[in-house]
Amino acid sequence: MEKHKRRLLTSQDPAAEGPDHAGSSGTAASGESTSAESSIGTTAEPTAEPTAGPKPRTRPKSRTRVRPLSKVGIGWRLAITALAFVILTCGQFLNTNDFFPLGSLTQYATAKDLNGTVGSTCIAAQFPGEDEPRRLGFNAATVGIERGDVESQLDRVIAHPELMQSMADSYVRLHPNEPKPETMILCRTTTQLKNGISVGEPEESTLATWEVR
Amino acid sequence: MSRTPTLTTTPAEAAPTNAFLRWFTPELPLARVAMFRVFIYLFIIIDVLTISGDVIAHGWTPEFYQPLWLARFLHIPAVSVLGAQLLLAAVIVFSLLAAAGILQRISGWVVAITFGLWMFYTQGYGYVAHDHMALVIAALVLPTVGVARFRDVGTTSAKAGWALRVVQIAVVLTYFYSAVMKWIASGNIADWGNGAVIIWALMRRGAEWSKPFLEMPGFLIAGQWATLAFEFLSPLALLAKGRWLYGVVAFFCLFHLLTYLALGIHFLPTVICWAAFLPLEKLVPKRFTSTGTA
Repeated sequence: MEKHKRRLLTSQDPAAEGPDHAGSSGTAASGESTSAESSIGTTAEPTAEPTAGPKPRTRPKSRTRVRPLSKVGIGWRLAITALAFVILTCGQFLNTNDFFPLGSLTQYATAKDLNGTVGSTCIAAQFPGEDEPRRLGFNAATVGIERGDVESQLDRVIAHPELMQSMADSYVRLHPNEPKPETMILCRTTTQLKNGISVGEPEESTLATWEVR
Repeated sequence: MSRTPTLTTTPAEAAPTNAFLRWFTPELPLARVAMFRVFIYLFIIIDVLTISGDVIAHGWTPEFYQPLWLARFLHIPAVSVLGAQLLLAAVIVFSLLAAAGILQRISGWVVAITFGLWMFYTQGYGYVAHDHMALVIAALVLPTVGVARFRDVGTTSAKAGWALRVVQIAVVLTYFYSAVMKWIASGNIADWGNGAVIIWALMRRGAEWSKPFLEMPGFLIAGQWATLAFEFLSPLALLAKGRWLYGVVAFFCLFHLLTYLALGIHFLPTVICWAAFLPLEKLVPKRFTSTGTA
């Protein structure tokens, strides 16, 4: 009898057939109501099940079919989620971004002193025929790399100013109609804070220079 | 042919008896995943063309390449300009296919691989932004759902539920762990809350309209404590329902709108993933649903 009911139900619901629904055999309510899954009519309609008589092909108004997970399916999903969670957690305590996308969430994480200084790295270039170095946009569209990328490896760039050659090359390639810079200057502006309010003019210092080849 | 287990006939057959598993792998409509994929894959196209569009420029600056662990493990070399352009084309083409639900498994996995590679090339040059965590995880888990069509409003799947749950967890952990990291990096969370981080950010990259706030450090410090509070409380989003859930999603979206207007920090890759919390199947026109009545 139960088998008969299932066969009838399957024949009632065209959506339960076809390649994506192979093996479908009936209906069920999910019985699950978590945060955002309350939007559909998840209630099965037992009254829609035909019991007898000549009207078994009457289609129910709405129905929820459920695709459960196998134990293996649940197992690997649990394992991989737990592993990712452990890596992400370790990433925080080890303070490493190496395991991206599960790295440490360090952006704006370091406390700043209300009476400290605010530093910002800048890039400038000396062009032929110009008296003063000119400040360039510190971004990928101007010098091929973003300010944050260089700040993240600032010590390396200061120790190896030849790295600025690629910024000069990028500038030339990205601005074919502009003159080639003669010197690249990695600079820093520093603003003093007092009780959280800036005092005085920002000071500019040179971190490294590179004669462009 | 789907490898999905046979559809069940009763709720008792479908739902795990363990309460945690019922939460972890909820039965959610496949149509929700189909809609979520549209959001994610179309956004990935926008992302590679704009937010993470520096990969082609990185082809000019291979000296700055600082490969991340997996990139080192797989010996992935620095990107060339041509390589970046080919990768960009692959991400766009397969994202379009995946968003449209064409060759769903293949297109989904190809996007996961190519977009993952793209991420190594945008994040592997020194600075690692954490706004992409949930988006990358979404790209990785969505192909595990298998076939999901817009008409599957009346078909629920635990695979769909797990994928969306994982994205939800990634979203809230983006906030929660950033608060934890503030504590770790500062030693004392009060130092961060009473410090000058927002002042520092406004001075470095603030919009002109936001500059007057630099004269009101007390207001900005209050903003820092508020930020800490909602970042620590963000996991409650996993438990919120109904109007509360809509309220939480709207709150975080407004927060990011504010940081975008003030600092130019939009966090859109995470913002788009908040869609994983919403009943997106409601957006499917009725004529596309299985029964036409859902």
